[in-house]
Amino acid sequence: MPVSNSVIAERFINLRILSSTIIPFGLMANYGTTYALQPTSWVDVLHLFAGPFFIFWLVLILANGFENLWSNVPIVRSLLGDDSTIENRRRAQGFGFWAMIVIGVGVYTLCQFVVMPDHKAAQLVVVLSISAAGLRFGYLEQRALSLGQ
Amino acid sequence: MAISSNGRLALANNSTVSQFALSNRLRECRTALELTQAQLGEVVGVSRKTINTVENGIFIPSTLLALKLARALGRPVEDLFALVE
Repeated sequence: MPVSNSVIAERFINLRILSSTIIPFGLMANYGTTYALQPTSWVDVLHLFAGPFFIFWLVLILANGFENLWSNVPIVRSLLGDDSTIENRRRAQGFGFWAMIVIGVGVYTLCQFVVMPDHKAAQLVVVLSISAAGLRFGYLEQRALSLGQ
Repeated sequence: MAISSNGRLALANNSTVSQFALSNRLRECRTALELTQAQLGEVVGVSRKTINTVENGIFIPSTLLALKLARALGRPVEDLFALVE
């Protein structure tokens, strides 16, 4: 029995929810474990590159118009980027922006008292604000799927 | 209908436009036709998630989507969506 496009789209939606929920934790853990890491082996280099990879993947999930990452079928792509997805993305992007402001102010204040390298402070703001936006998007999408069926 | 002192559009019964919320009878009309959320979604070109959020009042549909839903269910759009105080 052929699987309908909406069933395929829902599988990808679930996969996207899973990605946008798990990757932020991977990103934050990666930042914590590579904070003072001096790469001495290819494993360390791979470890350092995992952060940018996670950020790239989250940005693709949060940005509109990258549905072709999930499927090359036009109908499935349009179902993946439909009205409620665009609205949830818009809310998550707004949440990420305000998270960036709050975290930025927090890190700015923290740097008055704790010695922190500039690049690590900047990375902390990026990691936490993108993670916040990703988690918010995952939450909104999950809520949209599961509410009062 | 007139502009009230605080600049809001006031209706005949002295309530303002911002006091209204959108209610819908989408679930009722869909189940009357024995359609699932996924089936209705496929007809109008959105995911089951979007139909679910509209039915639960989480997401206010665009005019285009509201008209598509009305056409798919064979009802005027006023039957599906209404302003409630």
